[in-house]
Amino acid sequence: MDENSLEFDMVGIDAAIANAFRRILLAEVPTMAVEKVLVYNNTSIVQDEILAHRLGLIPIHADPRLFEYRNQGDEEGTEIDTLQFRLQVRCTRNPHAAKDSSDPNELYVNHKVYTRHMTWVPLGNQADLFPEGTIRPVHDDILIAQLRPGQEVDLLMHCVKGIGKDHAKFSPVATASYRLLPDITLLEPVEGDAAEELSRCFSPGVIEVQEIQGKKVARVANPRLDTFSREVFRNEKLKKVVRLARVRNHYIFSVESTGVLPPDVLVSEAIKVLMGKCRRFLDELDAVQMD
Amino acid sequence: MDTQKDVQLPKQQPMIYICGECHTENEVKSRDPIRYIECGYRTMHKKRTKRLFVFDA
Repeated sequence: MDENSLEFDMVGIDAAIANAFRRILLAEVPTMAVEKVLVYNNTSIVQDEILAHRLGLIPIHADPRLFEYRNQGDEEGTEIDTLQFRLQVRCTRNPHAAKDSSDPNELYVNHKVYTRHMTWVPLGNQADLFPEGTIRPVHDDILIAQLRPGQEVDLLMHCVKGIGKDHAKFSPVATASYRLLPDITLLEPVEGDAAEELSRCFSPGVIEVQEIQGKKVARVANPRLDTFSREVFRNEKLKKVVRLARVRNHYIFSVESTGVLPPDVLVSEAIKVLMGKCRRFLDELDAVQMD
Repeated sequence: MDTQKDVQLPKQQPMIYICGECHTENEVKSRDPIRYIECGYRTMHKKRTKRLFVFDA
């Protein structure tokens, strides 16, 4: 595991449960993202609606558990459900540029609009709740738009809490997926040069060739590393020796976070969402039984 | 008195148009020939409205 991606195993559960976790991670764990863009001035080449679309996809570093969903029909938003950002960049000509320069970095000032130009505008008591610098885009080097002298972008953004089911911008994972543990069995002992050949048919580390009593013998060392290329079935001699299958209830999950929350927190949030759904369903059943 | 004020206000704001070729702003007064001095372009564009637009991201 590193700070944004996590690999873990779930053993002994049914396929439906594993798939439910995957789907919840993708579509039902909430995040904060830009929803409304108030454009005061946009004289850049990028059209208003394209710019708004791009801003919506920027991951916002704010813990969604500290916010609430916005009520339906509430246009203004309160401090408990809205984050406000300001983006104001004006491009000008650089008076100190060399006469014959053609490098835009030298000729123009502020000609690239990055996420680091987004400033957080605290609403209500948000300034007390969130220290300086904690509410910001996850990455500060995402290029939003390019400008030339005289062009300006001046807008206000409102971020709300949402889930991936509503719009993919709210998905907290840069994909979450699972695979089943490979099950590789050698039906007969493989020795000598065939052993070396067998180890080359699989990903490195899957098959280990050991020297036992002067002979080279192949052994399945780490089937987890195999990528299932099925190269061994293209080999006439070896294809009868190997049986390739999957362990039916051993799931290897891989979760990569967009940076909003650490991946282990995302998994525990997904579990909480599933528990909430089960709880709601059980309550519904109890209510029906009582009638 | 109100109509007098209304007539005066727009006159005080100079109309700034943008040259079609080099995109520099220049002020054009009424009855001026439409032509940009620097590059001789005869097409002028109006500036973007100051009105607010709200978009869904």
